[in-house]
Amino acid sequence: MRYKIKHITEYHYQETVSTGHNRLCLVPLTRDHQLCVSCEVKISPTPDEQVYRTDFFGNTILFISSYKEHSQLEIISESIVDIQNRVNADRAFSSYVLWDDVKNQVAKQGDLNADVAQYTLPSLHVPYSEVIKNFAQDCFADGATLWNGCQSLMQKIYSSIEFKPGFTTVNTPVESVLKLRKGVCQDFAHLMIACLRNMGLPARYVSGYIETLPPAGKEKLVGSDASHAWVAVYFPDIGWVEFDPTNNLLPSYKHITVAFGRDYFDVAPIKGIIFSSGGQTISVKVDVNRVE
Amino acid sequence: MDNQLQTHSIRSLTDGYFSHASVLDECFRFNEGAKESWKQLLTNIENLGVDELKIRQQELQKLLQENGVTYNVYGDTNELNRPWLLDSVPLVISAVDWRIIERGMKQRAYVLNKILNDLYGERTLLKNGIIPPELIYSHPGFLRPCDKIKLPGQHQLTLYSADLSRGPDDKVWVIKDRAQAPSGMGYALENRSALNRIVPELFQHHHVPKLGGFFNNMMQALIQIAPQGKENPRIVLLTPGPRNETYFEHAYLASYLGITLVQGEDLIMRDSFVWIKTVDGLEKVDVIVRRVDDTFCDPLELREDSQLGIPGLLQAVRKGNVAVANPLGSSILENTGLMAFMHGAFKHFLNEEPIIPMIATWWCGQKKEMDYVIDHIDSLVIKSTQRLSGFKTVMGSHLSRSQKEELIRRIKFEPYKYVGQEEVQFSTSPVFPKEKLEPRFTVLRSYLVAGKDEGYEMMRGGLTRCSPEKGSFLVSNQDGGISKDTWVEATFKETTLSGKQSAPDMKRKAVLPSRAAENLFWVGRYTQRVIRTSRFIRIVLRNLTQTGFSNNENDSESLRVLLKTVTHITDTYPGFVEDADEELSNPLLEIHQLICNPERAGSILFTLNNLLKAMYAARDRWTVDSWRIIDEIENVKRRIAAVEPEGIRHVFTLLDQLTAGLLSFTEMTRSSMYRSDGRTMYRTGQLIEEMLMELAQFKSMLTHQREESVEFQLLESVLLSNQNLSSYRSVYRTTLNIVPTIDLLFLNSQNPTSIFSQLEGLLEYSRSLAHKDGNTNDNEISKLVFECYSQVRLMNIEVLAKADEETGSREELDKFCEQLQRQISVISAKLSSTYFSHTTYSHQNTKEGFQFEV
Repeated sequence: MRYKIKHITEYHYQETVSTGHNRLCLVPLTRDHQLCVSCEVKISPTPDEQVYRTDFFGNTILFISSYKEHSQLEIISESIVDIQNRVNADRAFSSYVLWDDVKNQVAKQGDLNADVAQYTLPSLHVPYSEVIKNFAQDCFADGATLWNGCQSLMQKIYSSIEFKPGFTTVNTPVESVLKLRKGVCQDFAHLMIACLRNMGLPARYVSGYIETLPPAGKEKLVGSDASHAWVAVYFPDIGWVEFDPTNNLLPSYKHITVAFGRDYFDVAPIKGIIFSSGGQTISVKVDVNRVE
Repeated sequence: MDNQLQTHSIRSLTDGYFSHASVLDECFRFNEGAKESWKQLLTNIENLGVDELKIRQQELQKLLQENGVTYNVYGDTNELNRPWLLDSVPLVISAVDWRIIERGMKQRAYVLNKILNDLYGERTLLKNGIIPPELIYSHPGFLRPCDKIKLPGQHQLTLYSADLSRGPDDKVWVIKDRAQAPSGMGYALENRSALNRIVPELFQHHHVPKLGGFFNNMMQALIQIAPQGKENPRIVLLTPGPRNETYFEHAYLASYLGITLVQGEDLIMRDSFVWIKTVDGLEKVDVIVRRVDDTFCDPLELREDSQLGIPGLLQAVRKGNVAVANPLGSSILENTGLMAFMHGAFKHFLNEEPIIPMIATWWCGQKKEMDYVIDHIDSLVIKSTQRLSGFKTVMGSHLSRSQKEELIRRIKFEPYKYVGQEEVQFSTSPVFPKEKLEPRFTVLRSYLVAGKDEGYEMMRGGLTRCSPEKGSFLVSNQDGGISKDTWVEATFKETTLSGKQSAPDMKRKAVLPSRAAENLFWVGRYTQRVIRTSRFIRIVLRNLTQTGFSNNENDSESLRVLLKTVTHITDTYPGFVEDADEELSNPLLEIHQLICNPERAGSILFTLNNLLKAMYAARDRWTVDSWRIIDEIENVKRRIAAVEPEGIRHVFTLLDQLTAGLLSFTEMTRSSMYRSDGRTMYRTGQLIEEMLMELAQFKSMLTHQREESVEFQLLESVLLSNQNLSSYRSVYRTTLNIVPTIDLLFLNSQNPTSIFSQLEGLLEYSRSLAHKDGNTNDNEISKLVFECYSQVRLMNIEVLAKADEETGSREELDKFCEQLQRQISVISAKLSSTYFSHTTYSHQNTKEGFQFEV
């Protein structure tokens, strides 16, 4: 499947910005089932500096700086991505590995890939927490397979948390999300990661896009798609297997991966600092369209 | 050495020394007398005599206080700084011990450098299981955005420091490593120089190695890491600012090394370079020696809430355009859990055992080790793996049962965060607190800096710290420890210092960071404000106490004007100005407030506090002599704060002392601060404040014609407070009159405090700023000054002095004063916006949550 993605972010500043630095994480990854055919990031006004690099996690980061006064900033990322069905989920489905064994394997250092170890540890948005552990506990019965554990956890989160924008921000602690029982996709993702890590299992955060279809009989609206976030769990001998707790489904070919990290902090699409005294408004539009 | 002679007098000093002791001592062997390496020192002490030593100990403390040597305690808002305590008895380290320490520390620095290089590079240590990945990945000091960043050359670890103590086996042990921004070397320097100055007798027949060589090595190491092998790099020392606990040291080191002291807001990142904002514009920075914790250095990529860093710094570092020492991310080496895996790392990199042993450490991130720690909690010290975690190190044996259970619960919950270390009794050394020597637990902080090839150079000395209480095991500055000079026993006399003696940054044009310029400007302004206010209030107070209030109609009218003027010049409305019957009936209460209440904006103490803050923030600019005066001013301040309303008469002497102190500070600064932008800023601030204070006074006291005797009293007071009364008498030889008074105060070019003279001075300074870079034109500021200058030169005194016959008001004079006040305020504001650029930054908003659901 080939997708054309257009992700537009616009900032309007109340006061002139004299200098602005931004770190963009907008270029889709190329990985087993996904090929980023092309990606162009257009910025206006044209920044004075643009530097691409690969970060610790293997994501593509674009650093931009503007030293000319400006009162708005537009960032358009346009990419073409080919996606095949994810096979890891199928392999995981038929895997009998027990969650307890994976946990013990992780705890016994050295057996696992050193890189995977960090995804069992707390991170900025994903703390160790008794409350969260208690919430997750019943999904991981003795003798349950890792696959079943993850499935029932995803199901539990999906049915316990109501998808409702406007109640949380990027800085809402995941324990509060559990208390509020409301949130958006990154809250779902953070909560599921927190549950897994509190159970001693390696889990990471995936940032990307998802293709949506209009209600039957209606035209798809321009800019109606959005950035999305979901979860990947490490299965020994298989690799990372993805789960989308916001939608209670297994990502196949409709989820386009931009970046991996421990949590949102590592892969925020746009992070910036502006030298200005006033406030700002932001608007984001995303279109994900199939190219036949 | 004659042992007989020594033992007698030393016995009185050491009487009872070993009464509680069951541990090793650095100086004395139990019941055997002093070690060989200490004997000369003890003889010197004996020759000096105990009584004399007592006196010198006090002098030592006084000198350090006068020099402004402090260690700040966070959260201590009343007293910004705390005196640094230095014991008169140094720590002597024998040549034999030192040989081992030096070899061992160089070996350890070598290995830590390799570890740092590996953790931000290949990570073979993790892949090969020599260090558990979780130990590194769970530590906030492992900064993923710094991955793969390298300094040029063989060293990633430029500066390294470790705390050493002698264990029960008589060997020196490593207690902890400091690898991101080791503090204390400046205090070590200051300790040496203070001890040398106050108790030179102790140094007799000792060849104590000088410390200067180490700092030369340090400068060389910093030059080595400059981008593109620059030969004459600009090096800056990045401090978190005056509120930081070791700010004294930052300022001290910066001036000692001849590098510029900066805060984050002084620097900006642009075009992937780092620049310093100066009054001359932007200047490129090549090397940053940082005293800011690494996570705070770049709010764009590291801690977002930091206000101490430079947004985008990492971008410039990645490009190799600026070098940071120690590199960002080096705090991972301060992970206490690493202690448990150091043997493996020594073996991996050197195939050697560590020469210096370290404390046995169990990292709880491993199941077996955690179980061991929990089982043996009574005999272990429990620490966090992170230095700034908020978890206070505890000894298991000191905990109650419930505390222990709580701690075990915490360890089990987040095991990777904790280590257990064996509880070791370290050695003591003799401290001279009052009458005799007492044994105190002792820790030596040692310093190393990158040298040639992959090696390290070590400071032959260090910073010794002792526990504040007898028998107390705590040794830390936060808890008020006592420091010592550190003498390494040398077997030969040093001929010359090794290494080059050059101070490289001196070849560069010195720069004045905008923030420093601003501080100097405000030191100038506040100094004059305090002097002027004190002088005027003193005159008013004298009038009040001499005449009493409301005896005589005329006296009370002039007093009323004086009191209102006090309100005007201190900007403390309503005060005596509006509906002030209550205040006027008992003016002493309000006057007392305006002197002694530090909370009251505009009061003398309030302004004085601001002045001291500005002085402290610009402390790298003052000489030792200036500091002595500042210390004296602090003393006067404390005494003024203690004055009660009933005892207000005592305030006269204090105000005199305060003014005298500030005047000598001004004098000292004027003569010691060489002609530079810094001096220009300081003088500009003084002149602006002087004029504003004068104009406020004139406007309040001269713009209304009054009954002759009242007018006489007011003119007298004005001239007195401007210190012009006697010159008036010698120049005009008439009774006091408004026209000659205006002439003297405004126009007389012979009078240094006349508005005209001051504007002349200000014009010169503003032009020297405008004429930078060969520019010969005026700029906006010097034009504004020239405008004022011309107005004053062309002023018509006769017209201005004229009073309305009915109302008695001198409206023209009033307008003239007001206009000048306004213009000068504009000049001050323009200066501030032109030279003291303030940048505020904030984070780009993020979309409040990704809003999506299928």
